[in-house]
Amino acid sequence: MKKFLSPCLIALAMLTCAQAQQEPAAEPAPAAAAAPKAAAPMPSLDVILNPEAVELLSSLPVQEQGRVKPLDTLARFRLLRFSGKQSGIAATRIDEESGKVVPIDDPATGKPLLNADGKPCKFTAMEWLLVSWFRPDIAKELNVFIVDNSDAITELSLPAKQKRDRYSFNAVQPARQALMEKMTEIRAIAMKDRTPVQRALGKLAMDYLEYEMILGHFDFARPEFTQFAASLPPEIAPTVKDGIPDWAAFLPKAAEHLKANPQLFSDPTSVPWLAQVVQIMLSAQMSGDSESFPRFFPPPAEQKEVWHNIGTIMSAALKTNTVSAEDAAHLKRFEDLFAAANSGDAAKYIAAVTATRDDVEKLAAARNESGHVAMELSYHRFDYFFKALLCFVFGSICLGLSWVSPGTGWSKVSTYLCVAFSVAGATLGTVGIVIRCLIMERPPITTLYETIIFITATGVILALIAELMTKKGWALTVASLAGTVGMFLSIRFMTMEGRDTMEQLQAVLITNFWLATHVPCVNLGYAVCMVAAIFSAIYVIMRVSGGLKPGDSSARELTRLAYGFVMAGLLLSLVGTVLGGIWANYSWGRFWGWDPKENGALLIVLMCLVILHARLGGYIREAGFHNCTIFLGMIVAFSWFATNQLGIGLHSYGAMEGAWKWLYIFWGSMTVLIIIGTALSLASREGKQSGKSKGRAQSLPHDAAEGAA
Amino acid sequence: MTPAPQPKSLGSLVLRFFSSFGLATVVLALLLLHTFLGTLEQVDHGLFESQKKYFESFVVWDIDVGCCLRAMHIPSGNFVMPVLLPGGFTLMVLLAINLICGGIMRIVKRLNKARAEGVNHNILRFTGLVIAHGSMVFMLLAGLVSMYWKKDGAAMLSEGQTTEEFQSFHDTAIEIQQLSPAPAEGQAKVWVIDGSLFKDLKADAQSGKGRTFTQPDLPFEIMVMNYEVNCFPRKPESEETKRTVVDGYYLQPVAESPEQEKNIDGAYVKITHPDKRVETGILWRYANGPLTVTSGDKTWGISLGRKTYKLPFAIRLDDFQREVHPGTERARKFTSQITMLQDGQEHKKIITMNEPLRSQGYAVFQQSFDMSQRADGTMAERSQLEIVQNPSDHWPLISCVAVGIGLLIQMGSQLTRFLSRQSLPPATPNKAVS
Repeated sequence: MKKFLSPCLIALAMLTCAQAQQEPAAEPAPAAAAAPKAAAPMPSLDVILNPEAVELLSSLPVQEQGRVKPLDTLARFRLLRFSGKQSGIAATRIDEESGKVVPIDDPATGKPLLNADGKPCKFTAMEWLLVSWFRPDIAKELNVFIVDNSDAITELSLPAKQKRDRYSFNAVQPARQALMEKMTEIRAIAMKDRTPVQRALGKLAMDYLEYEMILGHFDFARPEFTQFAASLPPEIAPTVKDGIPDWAAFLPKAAEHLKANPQLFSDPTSVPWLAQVVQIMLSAQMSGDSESFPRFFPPPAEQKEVWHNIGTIMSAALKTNTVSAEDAAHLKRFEDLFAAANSGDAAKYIAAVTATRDDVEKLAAARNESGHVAMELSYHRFDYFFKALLCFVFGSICLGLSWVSPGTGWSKVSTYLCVAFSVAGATLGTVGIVIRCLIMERPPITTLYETIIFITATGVILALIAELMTKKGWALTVASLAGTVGMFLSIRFMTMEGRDTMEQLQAVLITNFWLATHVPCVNLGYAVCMVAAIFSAIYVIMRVSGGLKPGDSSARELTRLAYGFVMAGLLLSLVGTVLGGIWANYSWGRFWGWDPKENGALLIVLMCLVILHARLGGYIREAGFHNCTIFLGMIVAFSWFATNQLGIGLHSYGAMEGAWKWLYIFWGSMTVLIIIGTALSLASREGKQSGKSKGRAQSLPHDAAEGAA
Repeated sequence: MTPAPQPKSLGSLVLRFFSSFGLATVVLALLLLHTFLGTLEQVDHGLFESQKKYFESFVVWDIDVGCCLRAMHIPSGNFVMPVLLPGGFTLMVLLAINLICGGIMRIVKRLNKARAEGVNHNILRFTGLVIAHGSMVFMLLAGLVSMYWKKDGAAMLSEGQTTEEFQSFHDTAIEIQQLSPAPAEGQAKVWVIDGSLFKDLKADAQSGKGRTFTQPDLPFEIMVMNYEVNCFPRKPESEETKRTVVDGYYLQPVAESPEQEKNIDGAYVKITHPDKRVETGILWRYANGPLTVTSGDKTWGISLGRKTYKLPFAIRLDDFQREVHPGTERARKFTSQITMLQDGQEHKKIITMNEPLRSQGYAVFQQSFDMSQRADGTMAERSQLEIVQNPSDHWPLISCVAVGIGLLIQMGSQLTRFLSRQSLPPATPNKAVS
């Protein structure tokens, strides 16, 4: 929770709260970011959302979270965090009288915001960001904040909508003061002890403040100082013209003034013009967490690799009393961009956008820090994993249709379509993973999110290979199911995390050799064991539905498949786990540290060995074997997700709200299957009919049992 | 008429038991349970305690059910369930025996069967498993060797500083060294009382008990008493205290930290001189200096601290560099540029994340760093190097390769048979069973 309520965010909250609490005085108090701006120019949406300009700005390189990425990526994940979706923010509202959804009106013109087709505008993430920058008056009306629990809204004495719904900035604005007070209370409560309402309030407060900063990003170029002209110190006043400071001149003067009057630091909110400077500076940083500052300007080659933005330039100038020529050029660049947007001239705006992007690209290229902007832009736009999910869903539908009349031509066609969709889904997933590797220049798995897409894609591919070998349809069912559930899970996980899924690694993990060997090996082990568990789940479900009888050819086929996957799981998990130990031994001197994640991998190995030996010893037969394999699936879920939620050890990344709920749902459903499987086993009394050796050979591949023994 | 089965000898029954699948299944299932519980109990009790309780023990006496439930986010009170289960160490020994006996039994059985049937048995059908089992035994052996003979610790170095020793992470020792007259260069001698010889003298269990140590070169006896795993020196609030007060202080025990490295241990010592004169002192790991004892014209320093190991070479830290991902505090690389000094020769080396220095059986890893402010206000960086001497350093790698080969042979053999069966016409279930 380092990022939550970080110092900058709190500073901004306190600053604006203090401003709001100030009594009206002879000198007008500075307007909070939320307050109406004095005669701020309002550019036309047609200009700022000009497709060419949007396209150019989408590919603007920006440094954030330690890596260079397109501005489009930044916009997508900011919007995802606020609203739970990456695109499709509608400029609509519910009409209080009619209860109908109507387009919101442009505050500048009073006309409804409609697109060329006469329908309400829907913004992509990049368009939403540009509207937030250049038309905050419209952006404040957009329903951007997702609130999972409407009680949080009621707590703020605001009118609540559905249990889970979205609210606009202006809808929350009346309760800003109460929200900040709640935030202060919630800060004192440990994350794990917070109630759902407190968690919702905490998230809303953080999102609200961060969005307030985004809305104020270009405040430095707006006439924010009109009302402070009289209160400015005489040596600073000449640097402000028409309420807009010439920042290159203003900042050194302000820094000198602050040095001469150090008492101002103790309470900057008491000096309106200084409070305004601080607020503009914080808003220009666009985040309360310094790691999440979008940094637009690459520094000269001889300087450190940390890029700058308007906020950091202002902050540095106040510390050093100077603004370098490069920084002055950056300030001018964004001032020109803002002026061009306000000019109403699309050509002028496009020219300014082009100049800005070209300049930044050139500077980044000079430092060899251009990243893979174009590739990343196309990766996000193509949305490989969503398309893969669609393929798997269609594949599952086709599979279902093939069961309508088995053995007919219809069934054959549906099965072929299912295979085609599954292959397409697996291909899309694989291509998506490969592109991520190329963008990050590293092997496929470094985060929990990447384990999901990798395990899903490999699980589907392995199931399809099994189908190719057996041609019985069972493995195809598993491929469709695993693909659908896995891709859905990946999208849901990304939404819950709400942050860029391509993260920079900690030092100790930056080793492509081990990331390319140990990590995929262990995750393939997860995938294979999960596939085995799905085979066994199908076995139990089919037994319940009467589709299978113990020992019949289909049951034996399913058992063979599950057994094969358990064996493969043992090999991959064992080798992967030992490789992890070897990595640890060669990198930090200990083979095994009993870390939760290590133990999770060991649990999988041990369960595979228990199944194998219990099977060979004749202690479990067909139904018992499937019950154990379903239990193996539960252990995989523990190892895969739960170990990261314990909050201890070297692998305590990826902890997130709501993970335990989903884990218990999964474990609960698997437990139900095991109970049913046990009941079936007892009911059929299959174990009492035959001796151990017969039972052992009944469904296990005979040679396998023999060979293993 | 079938001949009556011959009575089995005790030896063969024991061998059968130790090589049985039943024993393997039970041992593996218990290891599974221990690993699960040991993972969950780490949340409240820390790694060190859980490791000792579940993985390095002969017997497990209880399970902290309340802690396990809390770790799984299930609200619960404090409930410790008494049990009697074989500990991790016992289970691993049993597993090793089972692997060895099982492997031998199956080879013998298979060969006997092949001989009896007069067939040339496909050796690949069990070679893989024998290799896999043997490799697992080798891996367990590596763990055993590491557990008993591995030395690991750390050395914290400022830039320009040289060391030829490192301090253990966990092992405690009392060191006694002559301070004055100062020994000639190279003649300094340190007498060490290993922690294993006094750590059982905890105040709660062995109150009032002590253990006396003597050394022919030392002119006094030293008795160690009331060892505390985590404590700090404190002044008594009143003069009437039951505690042993030495020089106005006593050792106040505090709750042990789950992170063993955070505990600060201490103990009382009673020095008995040849003239029967007795003096008492307090040893505390973070004491400003050693406890001094004067006997005749010599003064000795006694200190309690982490056990110190000597290196066969010296290390000088020339430069430490810390890189972070731009604009973040996320570490990208830590690098120590060092000089190895031995026999008057200097070798420049670089130690960085995932690239340790290996020399003469020792491995030196980049572990962490810290920053401190110098007197002139500038920041000084110190690099912490982890140093390990492990006789079984490379054994896991050999074992991993072997186990992989073994399982691949086994699986390849099974897959071949599976595919060849697939190509045959389907057999009726009855046939398959028979």
